[in-house]
Amino acid sequence: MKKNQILTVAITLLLAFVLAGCSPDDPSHPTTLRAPQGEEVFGKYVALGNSLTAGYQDAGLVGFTSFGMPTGQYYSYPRLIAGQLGLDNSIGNSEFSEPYIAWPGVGSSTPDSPANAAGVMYFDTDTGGLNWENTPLVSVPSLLLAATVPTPYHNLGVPGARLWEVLNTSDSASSYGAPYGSPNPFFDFINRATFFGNTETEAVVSDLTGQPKTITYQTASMARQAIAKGPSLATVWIGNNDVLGGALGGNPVVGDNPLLGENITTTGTFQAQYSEMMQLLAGGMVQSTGWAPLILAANIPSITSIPYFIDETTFLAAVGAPAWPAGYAEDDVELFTFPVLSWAATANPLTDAVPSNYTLTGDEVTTVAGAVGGYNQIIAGVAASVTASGYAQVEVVDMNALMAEISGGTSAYGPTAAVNFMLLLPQFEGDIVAAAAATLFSLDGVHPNNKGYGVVANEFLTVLNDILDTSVPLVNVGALSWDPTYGTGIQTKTTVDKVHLSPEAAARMGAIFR
Amino acid sequence: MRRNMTFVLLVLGLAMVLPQLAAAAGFSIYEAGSRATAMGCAFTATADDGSAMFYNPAGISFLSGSNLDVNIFGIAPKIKFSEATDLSGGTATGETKSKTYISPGTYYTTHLTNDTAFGVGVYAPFGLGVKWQDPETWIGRQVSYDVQIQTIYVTPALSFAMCDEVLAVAVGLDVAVQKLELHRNTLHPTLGINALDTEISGTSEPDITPSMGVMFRPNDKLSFGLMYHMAKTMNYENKDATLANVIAPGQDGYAWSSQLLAGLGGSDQTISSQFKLPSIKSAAVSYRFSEKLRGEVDYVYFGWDHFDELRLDFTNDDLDQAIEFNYEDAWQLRCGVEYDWKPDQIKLMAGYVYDTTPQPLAAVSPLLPDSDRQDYSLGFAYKSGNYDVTVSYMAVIGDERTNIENGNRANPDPAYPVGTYSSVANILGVGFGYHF
Repeated sequence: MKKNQILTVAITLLLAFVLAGCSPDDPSHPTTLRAPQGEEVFGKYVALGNSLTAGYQDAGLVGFTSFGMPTGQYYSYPRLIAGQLGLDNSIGNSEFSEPYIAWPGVGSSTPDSPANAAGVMYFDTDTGGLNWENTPLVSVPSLLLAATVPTPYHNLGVPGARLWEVLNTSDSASSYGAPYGSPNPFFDFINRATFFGNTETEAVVSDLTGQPKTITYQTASMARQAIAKGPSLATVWIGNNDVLGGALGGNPVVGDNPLLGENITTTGTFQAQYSEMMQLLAGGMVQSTGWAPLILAANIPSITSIPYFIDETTFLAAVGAPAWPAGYAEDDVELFTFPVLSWAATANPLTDAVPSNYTLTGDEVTTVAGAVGGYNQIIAGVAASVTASGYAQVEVVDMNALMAEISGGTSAYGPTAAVNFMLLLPQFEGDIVAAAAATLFSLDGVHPNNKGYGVVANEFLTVLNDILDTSVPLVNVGALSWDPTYGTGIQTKTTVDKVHLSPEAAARMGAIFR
Repeated sequence: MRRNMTFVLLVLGLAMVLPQLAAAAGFSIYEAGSRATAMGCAFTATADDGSAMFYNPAGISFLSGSNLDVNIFGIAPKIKFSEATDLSGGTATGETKSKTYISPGTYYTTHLTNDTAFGVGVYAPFGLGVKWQDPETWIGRQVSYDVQIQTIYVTPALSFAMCDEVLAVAVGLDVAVQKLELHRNTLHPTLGINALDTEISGTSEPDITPSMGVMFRPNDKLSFGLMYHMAKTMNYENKDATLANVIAPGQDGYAWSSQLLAGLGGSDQTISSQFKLPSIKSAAVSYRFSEKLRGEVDYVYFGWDHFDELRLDFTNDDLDQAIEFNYEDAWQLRCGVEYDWKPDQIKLMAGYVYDTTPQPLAAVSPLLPDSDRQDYSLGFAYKSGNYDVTVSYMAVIGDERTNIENGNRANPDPAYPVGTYSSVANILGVGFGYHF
């Protein structure tokens, strides 16, 4: 063979190899990911909910007192849980971020000036009543300490949020009350739709029977922001406001049309909305992480057990009368709302009947209880169905049972754990520290105080430990304290013979969720 | 004429300093000479052409006269990815662009005295080129959609023959510069659209470290070789980083991306970094089985443990990050044979390599999804007078690798796609030698 031939053969062989050039096989899609187990679940946690999740108390949302002492949001149950799970929950863009608001906080608008946002209420030792600072609405943005955190907050609790709003609301204009003249500005602060942008979108998820289902939702909604965090653990406590507003106003009516005065979501609507929400959360979280998340769904505590509602004996004792001779506008009155004490202070017992907006009749209590009971059945049913679908493990946290225990006076937190501080103060002869320590609720009578949120956190943690067989330490509730004076006079003793509730303070208590 | 030729070839060689990529585990490119490549780069005990400047500079003591070797490699890698399905029903796939990267290997050797040889080489032992198709939608674009690393070594060395020329010891200096370019995308957190496109690029400061080689040829049949290139740390000071807002004004999400960009200090940033390169050690033995057949086995050890992280220190500390690599030391077994088909005219070569990955599963990423590899090579050399030409081919076949560990994401960062990567690289090398 001549060398040229040899060369030709060799080059041809080489070229053949190169042209044939090996190429990689298309790898097959692996399927071996498994859901995190035990403590692995603690890696990323988000919380969805309403004011209870936000850490709202004393009729407002605030993270720090005027003296820089942490309170409110800092003691929200999700933040306490995150701390117990070992997550960095420091202020800022940490492993558990919150929409912190500076002093004096943001609550409902003052009844006499819609141009102002009222801060948290505090016990004013000078007057023996409740007081607060106002912030002009234009200055409110300067109170939002975490407005530029570049990712959604881990605590997505929006005060006032209703179930429907978890998927469908991105800002105040799209909030449930907006068409009825009551937009909820907390969505602007917490969902930050103008910051993130918002668009309506669709997701195809598995419905409760395993069939594909298209769900429409907003990208700046609470649900989408929670999903975007890619959590392995989520807590959801929503639905309270679907019944609470009607109860607080003293005239609860079941129905879905606020224009007709209907203020308690029907169980049919609640069923549809709750299952859609849970399907979207489960499906979305699976898509963002690749595994089924653990979702702890708290149910709705008995609304009428909160300190905002008082029975006749308590009402009469507080006003210092053996009876209310003028009677009540409705028959069969079972409970009074706390603001009645403000009304009674100036009313004439001999001529003024107690108006219906300050009372719940037996039928009304039954209506409210029926709604709560119906919602809780739905929450349990959806939790079981979604768990059965395999797209999430949804476990119910029984806040209803916890509330029953606390309001029944049999809990470890004492017989007065569900009694308003304002009522306790005369009992404790003006000893502010002692009265504050005797209750788990804040001044507004609806929301827990710092200590109460510790109890709520422990209820979640107990369920979590039970499910995962972990031993996350519980929050040391005894070490949490609540200062109703917000640093202005906790150590003082005051002379309080009865409850001093101004009409403005009473109006704020009743306006929390409307 | 001779001088002109030398000049032309040197210029040609330097002009070949073009993008390269990983052809051995990690981002090492062990293909420094075409003939060596045909033998699976089992060459430390042979080292009888210019590529000795990399494989074992002591080899130049055994070369006669002066030699100029110019090698050009075309390296065509292909990586494919399939996302884990699981509950999410993930169907994402990805594939790198079909692209041929050029890698150089240019060497000059001569004798200064009877016992002292001198050589200089320009080659690229570390490089990376992973450019994914469809960068706008590639599932791993938050980590990288295009990365290129080029490292050029210029190694001058002196080799001293001793003990009646059965032993040679060489010392050299590895003078290196590196060019790095990385493209990635930051996604909008709730809309999921591309938001900030980040480009980091720069050329490192030169870094100088020693290298050495030993060759021992006790008889005509047997040869032993040792090679060492020290680990390096390439320093980047105040290089360019550009953050581009790819969400248009008026488009949903623009407020977020523009506020984020403004908060970070705007588009034009500077960055400092350190990029660590491993040490390379090789111990080899070559044996002549017959008049025509010779074989070599090399054990190569890479000190990849040095490559722990890539720190990206921006002028704005909020942007600082460390890409974790946490490589572990890794070894390779390289075997090659050479057959003198037509003595002094045609040689045929073949080789096999087993190459272990230094990359822990958590670092398997769109930047470089590495795996254990097996290489198969062959080639031939043709010699005529003072000239020779060598053609080589190597197939680098990576094991499939799935970044799932005990059912968990090996890297908990959700930006890292979870799934299986497969990779193959085809390498064609051509070498020209001129001996005078």
